[in-house]
Amino acid sequence: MELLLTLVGYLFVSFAAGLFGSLLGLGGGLIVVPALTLGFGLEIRYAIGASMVCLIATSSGAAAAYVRDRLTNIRVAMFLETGTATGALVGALAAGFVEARWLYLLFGSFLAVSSVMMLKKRSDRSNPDLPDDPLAVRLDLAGSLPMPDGKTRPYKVYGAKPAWLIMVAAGVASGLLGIGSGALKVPAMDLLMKLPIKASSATSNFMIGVTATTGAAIYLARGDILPQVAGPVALGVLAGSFAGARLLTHIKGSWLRVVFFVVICLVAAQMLMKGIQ
Amino acid sequence: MELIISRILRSGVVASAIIISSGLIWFLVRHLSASSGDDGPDLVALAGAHDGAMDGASQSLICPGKLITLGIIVLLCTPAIRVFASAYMFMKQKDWAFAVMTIWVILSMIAGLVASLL
Repeated sequence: MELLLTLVGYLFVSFAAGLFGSLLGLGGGLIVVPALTLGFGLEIRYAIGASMVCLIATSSGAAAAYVRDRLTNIRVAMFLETGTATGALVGALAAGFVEARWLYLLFGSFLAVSSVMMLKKRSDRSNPDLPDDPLAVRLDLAGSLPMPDGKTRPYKVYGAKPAWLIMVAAGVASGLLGIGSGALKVPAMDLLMKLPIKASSATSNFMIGVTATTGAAIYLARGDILPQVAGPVALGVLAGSFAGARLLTHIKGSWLRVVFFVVICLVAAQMLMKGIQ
Repeated sequence: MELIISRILRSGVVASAIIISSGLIWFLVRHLSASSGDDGPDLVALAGAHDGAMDGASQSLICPGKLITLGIIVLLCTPAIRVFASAYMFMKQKDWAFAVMTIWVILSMIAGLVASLL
């Protein structure tokens, strides 16, 4: 009986993680790691192993729908993935040379600032006065977003270079700290590249899977991915991410923005605390 | 291109979900029939001892735990296959800038894996 309860608990927690992760473009490790360690008394490395699986499941499960519905900007994703992949490699190589607390402090403050900016900056969307970004134009990054009424709204992309640099930093964070760093990706796409919030979230979601794959393979090789934990978690997350993908096209961008603000503030606070301790 | 990538992701996800659920169901059926009462091994206690925790005493080639791990491996391969497929598609479209970027991503993934496991 206890076994069944634990299984149902895993499924429930991971369903929530998949739902939020797919809506916000975050991995969902934010929910899974504390829930598994605090709620189910699991060792932290097994919880992180399960959260790696959770990241990939959220990313792949929701991306299948987002890519089909053209919410994901594949060109932006591929361009930025070169940054995250390079950063993750640097992070993996630099692990042991860098003090993690400075990184936590750095990213925590970055998130705190960008969360406030994301909530404030709403009026200057699709500002026609903004000069074109030559790199974004050359790479043909512009896209269009499907609207709830069935029409599509085209959008331009700006700030390709600074966003790429932020992605390198996000990659380093994933490599060093083992976090999904979707919380860094979404604000960069939103604030610098001026992508619509739904496109930012869907594109971040798409990218997360790639960054996490290397990490997950390493955890699997080390034996930190337990089938009895990661199996139910993967199933729950997949179900949650399918549900989230269905929701995203129907909910309002402004609502998403507010939820994102709250979540990012929490992540920022958590990171700053880790840096200060 | 969108359709192909979406299909790759969907098939990977569905395949892994089927494999994982069959492993879980198998485990539950075996567990419930084996321990008809209290002393069943519970998941939390088993979590400490990995490696064959779910297959109990049996050392057979196929067991629920290994089946679930196989499903997880299928899931982990899904994003990688997606990147390989997009590299191929960019090359086919003669979109060289993006083909090079995609290959760069693949190389960094492999390098990261090698660097961490060495």
